[in-house]
Amino acid sequence: MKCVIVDDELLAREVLSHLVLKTPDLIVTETFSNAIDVMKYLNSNPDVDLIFLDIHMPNFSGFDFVQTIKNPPLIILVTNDKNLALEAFNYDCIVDYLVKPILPERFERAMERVRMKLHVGYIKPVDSNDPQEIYVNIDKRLIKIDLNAINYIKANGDYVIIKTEQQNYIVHTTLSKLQEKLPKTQFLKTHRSFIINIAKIIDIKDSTVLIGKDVIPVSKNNRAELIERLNLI
Amino acid sequence: MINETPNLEYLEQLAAGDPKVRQTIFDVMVKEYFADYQEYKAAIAQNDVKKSITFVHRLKHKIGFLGMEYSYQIAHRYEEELRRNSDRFQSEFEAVLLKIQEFINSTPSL
Repeated sequence: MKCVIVDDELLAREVLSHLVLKTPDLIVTETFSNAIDVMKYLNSNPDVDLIFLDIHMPNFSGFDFVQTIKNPPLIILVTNDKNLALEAFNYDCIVDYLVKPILPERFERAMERVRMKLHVGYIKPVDSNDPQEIYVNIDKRLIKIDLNAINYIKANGDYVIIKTEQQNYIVHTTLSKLQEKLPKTQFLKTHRSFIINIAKIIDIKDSTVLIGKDVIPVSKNNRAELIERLNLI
Repeated sequence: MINETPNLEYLEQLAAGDPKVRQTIFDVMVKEYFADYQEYKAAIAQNDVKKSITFVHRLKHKIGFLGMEYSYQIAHRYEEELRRNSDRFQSEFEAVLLKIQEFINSTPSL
């Protein structure tokens, strides 16, 4: 995994660099003393997996950064102030919150969270050009379905069943036609009868994935692509 | 006020017995501490509250680094008071800084 460190204090950057050095599956590609420079860096280095981000920085805070950046990688916030923890978890990309001085055991726990999140397939938010929803024709009504709410889609004869967190929609179409309308970064066909939302995977075992309480088959031909799409360690 | 002295327990934990790491991080802490201290004193002299808050915040991290939990709370409260344009806890905070300087001066090399 590649990470960058953003903190206006040299001591904090030094301590974090040392802790990263002790972590075999993590390397620091760059350190920054302000958030503006890291934004430029991320534009030309989109393969960064993780940012250690100080909240309290002059002029442009860590939260300003999180609110501004498009397609953020995972972020671990670093700060002196415990009181900001609740706000931190309003953002999906923020995996943990470390209070200075950072203890090595606490750092390792944060890294476990990162690994877990990457293992289950954290994907950066969809590109703004990708559709955010689809409209399906059900009983002569066009019904809007939020793509992020879809768990998976199952073929069922001349119909497909779109399973969302709240309800199921039965639509008269084929899986292939529907697949053409879905963002490739977010959805994957795992079997001739199933398309899954990668972000909804809870775990993967043998030739199945668990989404919600449902076990979805993964065919031998699609398994390699699924594994490739996950950030496996 | 609780009589608290700086210590290097946290640094020892980080270094895990590696003298080079211990020295490198300690040197960075000392260098940045004195730079932050000078900036803080200048900000106070210029009555620049925003800058004072920034450097109290930065010094707070060094106080925590040196294991001074009570003093850390003093710094935190002083930072909050500064945000309200009050100088409450200034003398207590500066007494903590004095202790740190004495400690650094008595620890020339690790």
